[in-house]
Amino acid sequence: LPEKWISATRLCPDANVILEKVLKDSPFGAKVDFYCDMSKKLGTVSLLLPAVHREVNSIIRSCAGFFIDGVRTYRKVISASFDKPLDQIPAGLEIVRTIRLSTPEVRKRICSGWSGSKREKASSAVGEVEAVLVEGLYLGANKTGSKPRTLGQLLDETELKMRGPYSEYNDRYGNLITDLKALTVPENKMHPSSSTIDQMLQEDCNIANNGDRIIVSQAVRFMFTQNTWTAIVTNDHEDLLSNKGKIEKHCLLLICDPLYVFDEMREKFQSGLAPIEAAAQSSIDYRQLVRVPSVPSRIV
Amino acid sequence: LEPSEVLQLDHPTKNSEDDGVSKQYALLRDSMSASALGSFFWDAAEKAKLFSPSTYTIASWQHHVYTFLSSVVEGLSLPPGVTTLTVQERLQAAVNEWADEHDFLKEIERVEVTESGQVRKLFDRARTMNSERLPQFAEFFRSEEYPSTLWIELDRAISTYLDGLTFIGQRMGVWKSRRPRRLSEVFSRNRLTKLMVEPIQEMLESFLASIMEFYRIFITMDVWSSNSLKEILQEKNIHLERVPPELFEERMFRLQESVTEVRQNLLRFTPLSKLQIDPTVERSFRDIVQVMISERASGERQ
Repeated sequence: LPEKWISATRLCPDANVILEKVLKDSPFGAKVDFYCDMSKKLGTVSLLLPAVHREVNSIIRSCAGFFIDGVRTYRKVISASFDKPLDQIPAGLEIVRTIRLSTPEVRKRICSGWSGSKREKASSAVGEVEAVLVEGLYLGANKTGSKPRTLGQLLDETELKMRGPYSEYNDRYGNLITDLKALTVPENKMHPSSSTIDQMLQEDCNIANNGDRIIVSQAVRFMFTQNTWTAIVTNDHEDLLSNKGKIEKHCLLLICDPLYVFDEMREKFQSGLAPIEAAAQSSIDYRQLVRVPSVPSRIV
Repeated sequence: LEPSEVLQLDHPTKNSEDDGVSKQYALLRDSMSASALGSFFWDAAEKAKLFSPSTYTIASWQHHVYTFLSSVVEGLSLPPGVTTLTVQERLQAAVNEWADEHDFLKEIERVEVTESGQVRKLFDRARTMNSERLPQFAEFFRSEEYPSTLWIELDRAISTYLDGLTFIGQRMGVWKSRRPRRLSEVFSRNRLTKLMVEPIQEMLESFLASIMEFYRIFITMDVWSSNSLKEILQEKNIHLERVPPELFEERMFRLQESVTEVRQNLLRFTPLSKLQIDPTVERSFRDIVQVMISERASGERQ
């Protein structure tokens, strides 16, 4: 018989863990693979917190959009350097130089409005678009027998080619949800957060990142709405794993490395107390963390 | 596409833009009517009333359209002064216009449930109409005045709906052979159709929910682009300038999520059309995602 903790607890992978699995070749691949494989094998229940589900969808969408916007910006910049339409210019190797000369202006336009390391990252991502265009030019030049493409066609085809990966990576996310039998939980099915939880997570738990505080806060809300032990599964050492002790002390929420979540969760469950009882025993007033309505929310 | 056509799509001239807008509204009207008709059949099958004469009345159709459109407008965030009722009435008028144009009300009343292929013919009509109209929908939004993410998501949604419509068409192919031959068989055949729909019920529901999200994006853009109540869902240039960004993001998220769900549900029964994946573009996409997610791991966010 399966152990009771398996069905009676909820594991919440964060967006990075999910995307690392979806992308397949990430530096944390082994740990994330272990988590996903073991979760399927044991039958643990994964929960997609609203902010995580949104973030994953948004990252997949915005990255595809970034690529297309990059191609469109190249089109605009390159158009300005020719006195005839791009569909009248052959996409020959001489255009490699045009791409090279256009790239600084493309970077400038794409990165305007971004600052700091985000700007650096956007700039580096422009390099990905640049690489696809240059490779496209070389591949086209090496093709024999087919009608030569124009620059307009090359740019248009490159834009259209994003449909494949976009659909594929959304499907991979969908497959992961299906494989893990992951549940989504709507915001309105959880107690609202208290007015002080964000400040407490920032000051007492040292979580600097606003996005991480939202995720922790949602997991705490779920845990005390359902009175079910809940863990965030993450590789984030910066804000979450490094503060796991503080977070557990102040809100009872487990923050776990993908390798150890099953072990830690079993141990927590075996303490024999549910979160609300455990809070009372630890002198934590969970009503300071979540706003408990006078009429209990419906159980999800 | 010929290069000249490509240019026209990306940089429409004033005339082609007006034509595009006009066409876009006609597509919306036809597609929404076809979706209402499709759901009319699924609903009848689910309620074991597919072969009941009482299903094929003007009142029954109009009641269904009312319910369908109420669901479409439910939960839409509208500008001050605009009510869901106003939007629903405009949509209702569009579906009525379509019905008048195609003499549809007479057609629905003419359906004899024991007549060979009549139900099936009407269902096929809804399916074919959507299959023809939907692919034309996304291309309009490939223009640079709309966010690239809108076009790419609409494109994925439409490709999914076409797969779904093909699958549903195949599944419902058996309706013809299971139709009642005489009125005394109506009850048993209705029960049988209900049982046949049950295994794909979840898929049908997610399909319907998703196509409603699809319409909601267009309606949201339209309503926020309207300068007056009169302009709502009337031909005009629609744009995003006045749509609150968080509203647009919400609609995009809902559509993306719903399309992924339909695809997962469809995959349980049938393979989906696979778009070709260019390895260079895929690698580039993956690298961009890696770059963007490293932002979180470093603990920064703007």
